[in-house]
Amino acid sequence: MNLKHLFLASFCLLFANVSFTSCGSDNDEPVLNDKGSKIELPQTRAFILNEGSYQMNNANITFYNPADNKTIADIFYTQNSAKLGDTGQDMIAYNGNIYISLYGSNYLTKLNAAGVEQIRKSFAGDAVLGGGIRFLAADNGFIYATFYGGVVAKFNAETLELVGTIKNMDSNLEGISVANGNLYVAKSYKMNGTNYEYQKDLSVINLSNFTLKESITVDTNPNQVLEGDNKVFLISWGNYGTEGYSFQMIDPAQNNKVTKLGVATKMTAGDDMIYLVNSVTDWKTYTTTNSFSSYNIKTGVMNSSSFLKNAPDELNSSSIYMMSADQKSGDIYVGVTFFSSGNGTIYRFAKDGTYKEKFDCGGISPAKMIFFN
Amino acid sequence: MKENIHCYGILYLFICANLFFVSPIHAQDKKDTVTSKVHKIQEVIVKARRAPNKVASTAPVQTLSREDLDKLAVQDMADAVRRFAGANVKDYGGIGGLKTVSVRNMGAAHTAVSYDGVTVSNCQAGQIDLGRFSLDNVEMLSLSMGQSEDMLQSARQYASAALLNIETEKPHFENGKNSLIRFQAKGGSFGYLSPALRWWQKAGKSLSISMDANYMRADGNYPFTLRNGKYVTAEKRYNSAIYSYQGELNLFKTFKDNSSLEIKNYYFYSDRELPGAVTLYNPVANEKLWDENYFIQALYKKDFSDKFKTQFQAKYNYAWNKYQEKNQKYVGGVYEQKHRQNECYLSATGLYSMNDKFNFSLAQDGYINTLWSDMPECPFPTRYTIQSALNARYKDNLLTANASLVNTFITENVKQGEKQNDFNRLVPSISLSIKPFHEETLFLRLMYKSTMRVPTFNDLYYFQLGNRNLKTEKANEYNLGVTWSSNIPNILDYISITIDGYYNNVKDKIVAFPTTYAWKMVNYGKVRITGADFTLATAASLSDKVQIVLSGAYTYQKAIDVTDKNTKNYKDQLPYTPRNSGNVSLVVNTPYANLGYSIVGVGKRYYMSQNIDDNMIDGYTEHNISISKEFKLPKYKIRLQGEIINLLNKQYDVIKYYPMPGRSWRITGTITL
Repeated sequence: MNLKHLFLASFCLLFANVSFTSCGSDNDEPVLNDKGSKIELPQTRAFILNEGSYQMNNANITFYNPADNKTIADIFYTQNSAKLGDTGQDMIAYNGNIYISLYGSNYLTKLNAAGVEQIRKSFAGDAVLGGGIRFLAADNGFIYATFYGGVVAKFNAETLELVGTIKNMDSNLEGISVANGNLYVAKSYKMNGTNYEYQKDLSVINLSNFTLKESITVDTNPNQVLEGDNKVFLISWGNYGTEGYSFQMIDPAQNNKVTKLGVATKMTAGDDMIYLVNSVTDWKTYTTTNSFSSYNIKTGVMNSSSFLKNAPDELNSSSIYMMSADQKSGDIYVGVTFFSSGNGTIYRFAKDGTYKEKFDCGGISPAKMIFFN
Repeated sequence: MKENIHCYGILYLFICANLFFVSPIHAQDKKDTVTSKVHKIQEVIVKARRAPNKVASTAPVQTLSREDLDKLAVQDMADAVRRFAGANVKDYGGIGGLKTVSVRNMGAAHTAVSYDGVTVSNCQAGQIDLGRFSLDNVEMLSLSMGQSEDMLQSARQYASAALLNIETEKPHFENGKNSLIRFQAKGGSFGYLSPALRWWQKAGKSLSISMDANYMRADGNYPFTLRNGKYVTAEKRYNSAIYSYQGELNLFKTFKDNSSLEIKNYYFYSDRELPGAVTLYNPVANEKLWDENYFIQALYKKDFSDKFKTQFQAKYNYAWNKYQEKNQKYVGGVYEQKHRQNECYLSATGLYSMNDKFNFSLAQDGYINTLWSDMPECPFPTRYTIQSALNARYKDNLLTANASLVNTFITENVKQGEKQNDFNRLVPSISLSIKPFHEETLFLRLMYKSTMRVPTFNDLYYFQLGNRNLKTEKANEYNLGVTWSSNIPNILDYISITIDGYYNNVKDKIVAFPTTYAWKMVNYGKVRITGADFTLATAASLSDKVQIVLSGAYTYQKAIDVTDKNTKNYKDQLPYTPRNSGNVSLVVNTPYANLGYSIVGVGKRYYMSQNIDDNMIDGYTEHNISISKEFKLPKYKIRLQGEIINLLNKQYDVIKYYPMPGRSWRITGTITL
């Protein structure tokens, strides 16, 4: 590319960025890029990624309007006239765009804020990334993704061009999150022969040079990782036998000190809080009991009382697959799965835990929810 | 030659009379219906031209003869079985794809498969892959719902909810010959090639030996169209190659006391690639499966008198399989599982005919099953099973009544970990056939049968998923039917109609029960099935040499999940269960060639549990046509057959994202010396 082309490209990019992030007339929120949308969408919006059933190609995205509680099922198909693919693994919002990883279909896609696909990157059959894409994180113009087969990959957030990989991490990787200039990556397990070998490492990657910095010893089978108030929170899944789930906090400011805070199977972060649920199944009665709790990041106090008020009774025994919090409104969303038996249900609560509503999430196993404006 | 033709002509009339004019035969031929014995007439096995569905049986029994299989372009065992009313075949596509049968939606593990009278087992997974059985040497295929007619059957067969019976051809020699050699070669689309060799040898007056061997290979990479909204792409089913070998060595001995012994050695080996489900945007498929199966079985029958007959069975079965997947997510890039099963089986059945009307039989089975697996925490279980079946039959000209009690006791040993609790369960069954009018071959039939499915080794012990506290899965079958058979002089050679309505329920169904993070096998499901099966078989002779044979089957089925009122699939139709399905077949026999045309139709159904439009699969019809001609020369016979399968090139899935082949062809050449 010569200098003239580079200048033109930069100008176009600048113009595009300005146009995408210009402010709306009636509030200070940036106007979302809905270019190419086949339907008109409200500025305040949410998207639910439904994982689907493995090898059924029924991952999809449901649009949700928090203002009027209306949904649009499978908005990806509506906008793009094609199915999303197999096993929706993760979805994040970054710079006004949506990024989704699909494990079964093994690709990363970038959608605009209306769900119109901009570009995708496939890893099917790739010698390095063929193990399957898992979870996503974003920082400073880059998307980071974990892969089975022990790879962390770095992509240009605009073009999805692969700009770097860290290979040979000797484990299948799961959750990933950015905190304090580092990436925290869960080394989950290895399949050695027919044996599952659960790992105990949370890898720290220096974002400035994209190199492995250190490994932190955590509880067995680290899985879900998220950041809240510059701290890293982790749920390890144990070994499904002698070791159970555990909820831990890693503090980058204290040399990545690990503190065990309790037991949880799912978590989400919102407004200085970590919302938690612990699901336990009694195999004699086939009933699951959910215990909701919360951790106040500012005060460091674990509250074992439920943060939900007047929640429907069935939520105490449902299979909770997702929890997400709307950072602006503070509303908390709890996603329940019926697995292959049917579409999941989302329960919505106000920031103070008051039950607001429930709705069909439009697909199987709601895995992630993101919010705009 | 002319004498032979004449002889066969008489035989043909004799068989027609037996098969189509049922009423008088049943009055005269009680021994046949009690023991389902194959009769020999002057060293020539009676071979049916067409055996329509039995109208006098107390429970539905449907059959397909060798001739049906030949003339209707039936591709494989699964294709044959799906033509039975009430049979729901799950076919994962292609030659190497898994094919299982569930009868009236009670689940594949409730259907026993019998191969030449001895039950085929799979204690590890419970379901039998029909794809491993060759159709080349099958003489008769029958599907019995509930209770088969044979009183000299094993307790294991009495215990099953349905029985698919595969009978292979027995040696029979024509024109005073002492041997027969047959070479057959099949070739077809997608790299299909299958040579087969048969050798029958008479070794004295009372001993004969038969050998069948075949090899099959196919690339299986058939094209299909993938429709995904705006993307309509031409694809191929890659990673679908299969190589298999199958061989049998059989010995048939008749002793001086007229007792008979059949010994069968069977070997099967396959090496197949698994294309897996079509995954959107990801065509990679790296799975393989190897299977090996050997068994030796003996069947000894002795009649001590007209009143007391016995049957003894013994079998040793060895089965091994290896699964492999290549992917970066596995250490070393490869994942493998190996499993090995052994079974030792003994069965004895005695039949006592008290008089012309009352018959009693007692069947006693004992078998031992073992499993070795390289999966973590495999307890290497050994299962000991004792099964007893006490049966009584009353039969006169107007009424046939059967009653059975089957008891199953199971105990297990494991080398590590906990073993499951012992099982002991007694289940009854009763069935009636009433002939209200002397002059009409019209029957009413009623059946109730209680059955169960014992948890498989996988259900109990599979790593992390297995549950050692499982109980048996229980099923009840109710059937009410009307059957009629007749002929209409100068118009129809025969007509046979059966209509059966049924109600089944399954409780404590063994299912993989999900919770948020772990799945386990549990007794959780409840299923309610109501349905109706209709079959028709008829034939008309247009002239002395031209005959038309028409047959058809239709099934209506409502199979709903009634497990949990709080789930979104409560009372929804079970996945892969069409409300309407059926087939129709037409065979035209002429002196020049025989023509067969068949249509199999399946209505819309759901591929997921919740009955919403997104989960629906379209219905389909598949048309097959075949033409065959046999040339009889002085020293050998040549038979040529050509088939076009899926004539209209219909793209369809039986299992969602496992596309079936489009139009394909197959030719078969057989020379018999």
